[in-house]
Amino acid sequence: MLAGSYETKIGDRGLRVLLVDLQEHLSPRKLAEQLYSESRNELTVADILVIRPAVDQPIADTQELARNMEPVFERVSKLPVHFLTSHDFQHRLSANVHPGVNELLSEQERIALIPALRQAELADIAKRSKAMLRADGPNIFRAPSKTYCQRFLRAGNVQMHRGTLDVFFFWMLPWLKDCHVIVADTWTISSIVLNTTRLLARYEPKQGRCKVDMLAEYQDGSMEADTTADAVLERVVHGSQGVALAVFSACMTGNAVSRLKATTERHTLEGLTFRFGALYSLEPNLPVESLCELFKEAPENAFQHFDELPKAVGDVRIIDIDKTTYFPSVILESEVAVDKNAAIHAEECFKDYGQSGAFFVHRNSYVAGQKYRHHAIYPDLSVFLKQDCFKSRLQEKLAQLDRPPTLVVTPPHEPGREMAAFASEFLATQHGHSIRFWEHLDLVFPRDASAEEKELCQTLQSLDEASAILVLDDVSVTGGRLVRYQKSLRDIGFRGQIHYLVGLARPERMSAWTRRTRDLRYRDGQALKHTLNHVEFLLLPDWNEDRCPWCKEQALYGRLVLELGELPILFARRNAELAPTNADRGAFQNLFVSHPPDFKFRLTENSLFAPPDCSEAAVFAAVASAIQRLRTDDDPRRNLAQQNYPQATCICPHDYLGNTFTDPILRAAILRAARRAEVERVKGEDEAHRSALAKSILLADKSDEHSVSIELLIAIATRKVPLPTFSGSEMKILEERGVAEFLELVTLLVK
Amino acid sequence: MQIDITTNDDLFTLETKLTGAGTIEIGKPITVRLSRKLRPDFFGESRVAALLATLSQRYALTVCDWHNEWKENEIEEHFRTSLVGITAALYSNRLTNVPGMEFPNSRDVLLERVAVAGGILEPKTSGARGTSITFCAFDPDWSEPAAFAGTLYRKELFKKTFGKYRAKYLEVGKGITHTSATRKADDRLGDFIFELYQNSYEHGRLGVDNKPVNGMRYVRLRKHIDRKDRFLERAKGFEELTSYLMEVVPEGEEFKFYEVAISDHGLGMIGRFLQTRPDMTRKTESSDERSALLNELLTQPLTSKRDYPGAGYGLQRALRAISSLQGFISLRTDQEWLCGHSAQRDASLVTTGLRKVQWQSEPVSIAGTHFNILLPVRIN
Repeated sequence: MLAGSYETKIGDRGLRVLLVDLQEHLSPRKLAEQLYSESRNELTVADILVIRPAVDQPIADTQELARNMEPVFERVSKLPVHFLTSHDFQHRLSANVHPGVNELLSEQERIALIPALRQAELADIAKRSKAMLRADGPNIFRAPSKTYCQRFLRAGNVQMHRGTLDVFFFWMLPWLKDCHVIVADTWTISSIVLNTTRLLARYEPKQGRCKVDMLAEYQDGSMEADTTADAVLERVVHGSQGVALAVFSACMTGNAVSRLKATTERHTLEGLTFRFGALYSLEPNLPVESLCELFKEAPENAFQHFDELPKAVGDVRIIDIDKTTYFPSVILESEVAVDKNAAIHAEECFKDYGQSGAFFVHRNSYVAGQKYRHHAIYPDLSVFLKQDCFKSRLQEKLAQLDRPPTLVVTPPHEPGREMAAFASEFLATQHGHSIRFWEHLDLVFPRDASAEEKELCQTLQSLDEASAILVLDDVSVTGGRLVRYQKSLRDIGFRGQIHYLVGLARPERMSAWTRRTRDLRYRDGQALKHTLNHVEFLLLPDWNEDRCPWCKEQALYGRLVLELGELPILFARRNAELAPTNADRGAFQNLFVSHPPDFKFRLTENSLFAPPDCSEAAVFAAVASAIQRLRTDDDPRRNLAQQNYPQATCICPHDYLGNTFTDPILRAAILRAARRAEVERVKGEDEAHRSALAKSILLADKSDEHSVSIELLIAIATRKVPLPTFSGSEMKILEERGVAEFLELVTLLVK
Repeated sequence: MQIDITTNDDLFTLETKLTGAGTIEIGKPITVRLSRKLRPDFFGESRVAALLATLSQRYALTVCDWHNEWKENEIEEHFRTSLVGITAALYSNRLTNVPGMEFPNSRDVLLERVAVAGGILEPKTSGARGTSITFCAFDPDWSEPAAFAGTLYRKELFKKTFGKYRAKYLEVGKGITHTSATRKADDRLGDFIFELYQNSYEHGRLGVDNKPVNGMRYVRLRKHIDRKDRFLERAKGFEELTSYLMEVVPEGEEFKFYEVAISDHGLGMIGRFLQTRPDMTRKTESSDERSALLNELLTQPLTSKRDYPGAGYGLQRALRAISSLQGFISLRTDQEWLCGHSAQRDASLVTTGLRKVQWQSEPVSIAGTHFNILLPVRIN
């Protein structure tokens, strides 16, 4: 299933849309199940669900489609459901077809939502496909146009899978009416245009043949480029009539468009009109229409091109972009240290809570009794709430609320309940009257709402502008749930002030939280804005099953059983510890596999990350937080994030395979918290060096050193570290230590 | 008291023996003499396992392996690799043979060995493929078979993993020509097994205080290839199953079925529902009332996750998949035994649910929930 969750704006109105493709092979029932199992989080925070049926068929009437959607209505019981379709090459967004839910959008809003969705979806594809190449610090790109830029969009990257090709076809439809020729500006988007002609033949078979060709290189005005373009155009327009569409992958200055326009004038035939369009535009006010104005999604002037080097020549390193493949000619690699600068932002938090047993890993959260999602790192607010420092800070935040709340709302789960009970009691003491707290998932009240829900809804509707409520959430990652509450409150006509209070804000990026804060505080036409506060704040990676290091470990055991029929007893026991029955009650405490098994991983004095005697989970969380800080570092030379390609940054191997940190637990934690791309090197000799370092750990004499042997083997099995080779005598050492058996298994998995 | 489980016992005889045990005072000793060779009836081994689990919850259970002499390897092999063997070892207070020798291994050692084998019983790993494979979880210590590690909430991963085991251990070769199961049918098979497996985890391992109880849950897949007359022999006495087989199996040619068993030995569906949804008043005194509630649970979204929109469709989904696969389903839980089929692929299973199995007597309460499903493999 292809699904995307997008935050859009129609006028002043923010809207979170879940857009899913009902592809040809999916039945509505299958779609419903996939939505329920794979997009559960998104469903709880979305305002509407938009379903896009197979894109290669025009649909005049969506009533027939709606009749088959009962399974979707069952699983998505509270959201308006719309169809995004096309007819006669025009896009359409249907009215709500969910019979159990009221319409949320006016007709004008539905019309306005179509281009907003197009913009959001195509920008998201560019982001996810890492199409936006960045040159930071002393580096700068020299684009095929021979201009210089810090960001370069390689639109060809967006061709991630068939689904995205179909998406481009769908949004290009208004350009395709009576279209008989398509010429792409580069072979790098050939899959998109070839797929477009293929689907066009199905969409409008009567339209007849649509020829397609691609230009071989960037239209830089050179004689060679001009000659090639002439040859392509002559071939492709021969005998054609109607519209000839020239598609540009991306448009920055419009120069290439102007040049090609001039060339096309030499090939104009009677009855043939050229039309020009770009998939992405990188600047406003260009002489060509585009599907996505990508500049709106980036800082101002992010894509600016310079005719001359903007810095003194000695200070810059030029990365040439190949004019036929649009790939950067070199990859620049640099090492980043997980150091004090990375760890310092979280120092206080781990000092206060690291020893409290508040951190867990590899644990599912449950809302209203339903498994909600998996968390690689799970801070348990029930434990935070037992700490005096947390209680006093929470009380402080509650005391600072400028207007006392009439009631408290919290999500229906244990930590939320405990926090709400604590807050209600404190507020009651402060203000001399009881304050009721309510549990509700999303404040969306269905037509068949229970009596209790109706009472809550009526109470909220009855409150005037001078009143306030408190919305409490134990932990907030993206603030999505708070936004859901905000929208629901607006929808039911709540007029008062909203105080949002989060026990632990744990976003992946500071900037994301700042943006969320700004949005949530917004209150139309009122002096007193809404408030958003948190008791504690920590940058942490937001990883579900796909990225959880322990889920990956489980997958290794699954593979071993399938391939060998059994596991070593150490791994069988380990697998039992990783099972949700154990992990979900917080009993998974030995995060790292020690060898020998009686070796205890612990942090010693004066660590950068946390105080001594912290739980393994707290140490891991502290290290993961430091690495997450590196992923968002403003300094590009220290930024681990992958979108900086072709500037690859990776964690210094000495941090996890060398002697930077002498505590084995830190080596183990970095190996778990780092992603493969953050430790893997580009050059063969660097990989050989890492392999040699790994080998020296496995063969080290001191037990402190080789206590991480199994952890290292797990890292090798997950391909974070290259597999070393061992001589016969070295294998003997490993055999004596009981490690050889595991090495053989890992070798089997890796090879 | 002594109960003999013999080679001749069909499902109804087993039920009768379980009913007979009801006359004994709770907590008293009871001995089950257990034949190693059981009738190859559909659902038979699963029912013996349920019977042992039930007896162990009420009495001091001794299981006597109906064998005179134990050979070292053979005994280990029998109790570690067969469903009935592991159930006997797990649930009995004493495990002996006919001369009275005590089983030499501890239960913990035995369970550990199953865990080392990924929680898998029975598969043949070389030569001709086997006829069955069972994936076991033992609560509370070995609660997820390593073979299914990390798949509990990941449906597609579970289905893929399950499919790989099916292909590896039960089928020769790959693809439709070898397995006779189309990709779509394979997908639906995985669908309902996942739903019921997850259901057994979410409900079947919990006791009255909502905490995990000692017990076993399993998913079992068994392959039957035979002629019609032999299939009818295996369904002897089971009228509904017989009429289903008559409809589905063609005359005079070999036919293939998958038998799927998904079982737990927890509170049972009715007990669990009453515990989790005290807000919903349902009468459960009479058999008709209990059957009606079970069918409501099977066909309506009566979820224990009452505040979560869209929850509670798992069992419906499972029924729908079975229906589309032209399957037969038996559900034994609490004091009820229901069944139904979709030989004509109509929607009645999904809309009206299951009917009570026609039997001269009323079933007595059994431990846990036991879904037994029969699916023709030559389907699309």
